[in-house]
Amino acid sequence: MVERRRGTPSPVWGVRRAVDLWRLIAACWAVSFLVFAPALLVLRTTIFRALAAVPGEAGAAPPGDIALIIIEAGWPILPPLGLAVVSGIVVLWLWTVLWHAGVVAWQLWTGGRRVRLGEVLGLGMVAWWRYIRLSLTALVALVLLGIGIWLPLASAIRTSLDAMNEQRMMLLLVVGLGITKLMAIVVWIATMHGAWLLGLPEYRSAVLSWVRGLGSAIRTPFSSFFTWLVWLVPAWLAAVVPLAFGIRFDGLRGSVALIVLSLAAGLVRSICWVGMFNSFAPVTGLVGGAEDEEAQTAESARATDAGRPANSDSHILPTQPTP
Amino acid sequence: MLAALAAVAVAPPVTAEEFYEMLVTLDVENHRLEGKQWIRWTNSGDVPTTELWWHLYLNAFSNSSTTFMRGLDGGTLRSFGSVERMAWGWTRVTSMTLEDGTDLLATMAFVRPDDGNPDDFTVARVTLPDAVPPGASLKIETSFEAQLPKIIARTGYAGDFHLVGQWFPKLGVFEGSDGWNCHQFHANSEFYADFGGYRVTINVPAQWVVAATGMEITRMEVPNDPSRGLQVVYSAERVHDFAWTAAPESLMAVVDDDFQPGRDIPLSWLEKASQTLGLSAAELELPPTRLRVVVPQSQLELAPRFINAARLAIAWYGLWYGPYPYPQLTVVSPPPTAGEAGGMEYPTFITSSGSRLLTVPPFQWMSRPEVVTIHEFGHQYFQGMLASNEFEQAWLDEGLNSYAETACMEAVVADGLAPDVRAGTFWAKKRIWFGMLRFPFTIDRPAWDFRSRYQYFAASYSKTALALKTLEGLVGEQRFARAMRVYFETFRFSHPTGDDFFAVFSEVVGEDLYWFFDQAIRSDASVDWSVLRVKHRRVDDAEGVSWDGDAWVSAEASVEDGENDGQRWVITVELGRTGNFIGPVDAELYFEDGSRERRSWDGVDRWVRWTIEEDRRLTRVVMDPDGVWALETRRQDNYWAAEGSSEAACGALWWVSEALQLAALGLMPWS
Repeated sequence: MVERRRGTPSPVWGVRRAVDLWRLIAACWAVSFLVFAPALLVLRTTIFRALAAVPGEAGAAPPGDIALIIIEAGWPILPPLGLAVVSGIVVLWLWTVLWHAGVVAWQLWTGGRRVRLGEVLGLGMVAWWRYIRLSLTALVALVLLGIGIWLPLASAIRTSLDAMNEQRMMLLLVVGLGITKLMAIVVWIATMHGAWLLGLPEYRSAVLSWVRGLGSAIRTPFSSFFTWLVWLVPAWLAAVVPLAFGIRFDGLRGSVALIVLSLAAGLVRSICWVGMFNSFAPVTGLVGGAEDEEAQTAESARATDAGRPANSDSHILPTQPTP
Repeated sequence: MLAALAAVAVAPPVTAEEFYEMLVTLDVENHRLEGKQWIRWTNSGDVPTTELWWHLYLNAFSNSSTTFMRGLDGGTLRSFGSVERMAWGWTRVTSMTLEDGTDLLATMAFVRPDDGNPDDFTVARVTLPDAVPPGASLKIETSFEAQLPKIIARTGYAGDFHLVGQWFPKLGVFEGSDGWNCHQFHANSEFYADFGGYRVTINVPAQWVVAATGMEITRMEVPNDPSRGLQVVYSAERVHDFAWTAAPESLMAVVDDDFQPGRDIPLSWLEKASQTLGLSAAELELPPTRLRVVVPQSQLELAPRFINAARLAIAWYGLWYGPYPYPQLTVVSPPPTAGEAGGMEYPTFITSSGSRLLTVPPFQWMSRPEVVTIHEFGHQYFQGMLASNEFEQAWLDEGLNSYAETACMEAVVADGLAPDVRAGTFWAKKRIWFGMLRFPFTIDRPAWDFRSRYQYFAASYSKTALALKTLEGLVGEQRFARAMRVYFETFRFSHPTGDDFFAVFSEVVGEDLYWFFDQAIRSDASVDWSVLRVKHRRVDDAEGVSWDGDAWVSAEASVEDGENDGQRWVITVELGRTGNFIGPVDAELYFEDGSRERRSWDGVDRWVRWTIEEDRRLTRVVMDPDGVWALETRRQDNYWAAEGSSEAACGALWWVSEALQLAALGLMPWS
């Protein structure tokens, strides 16, 4: 029922899976806002109150007043605010790892049949720790590569400065920034490849999976990059457009219209992240149409009743994965 | 204007005129100077003197325990660094004689008038064989050698680049019966010297660039002496210091241009200055000026920006305060690793701040070259010509110039004459920076006597500028501008003090302003206004009895007899002065029908209560609605509203929310 492709990323596949995972998209969308709710709540209870008496029309308050009031009201709440922001970032990271793990398990173990969000996340919980290790592996790789790039570059830049050669310094800076950017993209793509490999029973090691993921990224540079770009561009635009509107039009800031736009943009971003991750799945999913899907569902049910995993006849999952 | 100028009852400026003829050779291999000087000094005091006091400021960099280095707290002036990386510098007088051959060197002794620091060798005193009576002159011949330090505090070398400041033995200021005023070199201040003429011959290798205070008058190449292959003579009049730079042509480029008033003065600036100062366009006429920009070859693209900034500065300061009187202005942008040389003012010779990074986005949208150039040019006025004692009253230099620079930059950016990423006005940024400080401090203190360097900068730059902005708001733009101009015209080429400044302002503005200066400049009084309480009571809420002239009647009945049908309100507004700075303040009352009423309070008492009866409710009360009190940084309680308005808050929260969402953007895909 399930066939394995050569591992080439496919945005089309990502779209199809994203449609199936609309509940997850909604959850990502909600989480991306909710994780920062405590921080915004802290701000709202202080800054909002402090600014409530300030006239809102442009130019009504003397220049600098609003910033001064924010500083005055915000200074005492910096510790709780910092805690709220940091905890929001940590929760967001943990959540991302969780749904990545869940999606991989859902896709590989069940062949991508429609399931409840709770099941996806439940599957993710089982493999969560392995994916935390994968995430940390990627982070370590990023740092090590960064050090590897910037240590010699910094030395070369320093030499250029000592020689007062700004042209060479600029060239080195541009090269360094370019390589760093490229490296971050490669690490990102490698991590997505690695995440899918880590779901396979033969890959127990996060480090090994990431290294193999890196191999996959290098083997399929164009399709990997293209797929990544296809999803990144709309996600990036969705982040930038509300910001640009707010910067350009003072009156829009905090307005219902811009809030709606921001919410819509957040939804677009969530679709992109879910779609992007699924695009790197090394399987095509169920072959065939509705009949096949029904058959798959029935098979899954029978398999569950029999105490073995669904698709256990798949050549991908010859045995039940060990959580 | 002229009448106002004549009416100023202050002492006429007193300044000495000296003359320095100098010959100096730069040993570029060892970064050493070998110099001779012939000085003519006149006793401009009212009593004879038997001493000469000298600045030997290069000795500030001779060891880690000098008063200057102690003041740096172990760091360099601008960049992160430490004394471990220092290559020390010093100066040594090898001979000093009078015109008749009398040796003065034998009498030379180091003195430490400020702190008695035995490791400081920045001030020396020699004893004269005979007293010099008032008005008499002396001729002194001196030989000296100097080792430049690795660049620090705008002096020294970085690679082949040399910025030679505070390099020659320079006389202190003889103040008659007050004696010699010759402070040690401190980390926070540089200048106090008499005006004079300078004629300086500089020897450097061939193919080197030289730029200096004043104007180049001769240039001669010496083909047979590669180490002294180029001899350049500079001359300057009515300046109180002389600095120069030298570097190979392969490193630094020279771009010559000029300021032409007919071309370079924005018409809108001329009209505004004319209207505000009450002067005709002819009276505001400015002379042309030669511009010389010395930039690293790698920053040639930035040269037009330095030139543009210099032109704008000459125009703005010239229009508002008076013409830049010197024939030339030289702007130097130090190369990389010589950042310590940037942002410095010497007479007619300033250093700015550039980088090749500023030629590419997003850095090219920053106005750093303009801000630094305009600020340092401003010191041609507030230090160059108004040569106050920077050691004792640094705010007269840095503070007045910070005010002027900010006002100039506001005009420049408002007219789109320089790039700037607008994140608030320049005044707003100054208020915000000042608002971060929590500890009250006094502006008028010796530069070395602040609790920290940070506090010195805050007091001398930001707080003074904001105090002047506050004064401008209180007395009005026109009277303030006229007072500033009169102050400049009265005291240029002299050594004005804070008292001179206060006197001019009181005179021109036409009221005693010492109440303001005593609090703003000479005390740490803090400004803080607050709306304490606003209370509404319906008139028909009255209970009990009231005297209607004939008899006691029901208070409720007396209201009903009124012309209003019970919709009238007794409104009580209580305003407070939470800070200890006393002064007048306005408050704006916003009513529910959209109308507003402006009221004033003298601010003498700690609080005031206004009781008004209206047929409409108050919706908002704002103290100091125009932001006149720029010194006030605690503004939250200046506002009161019956119902919270969410616009400003939503706007602010929106920024935070977007920032957090951008953080989410970076994290969401990361597994």
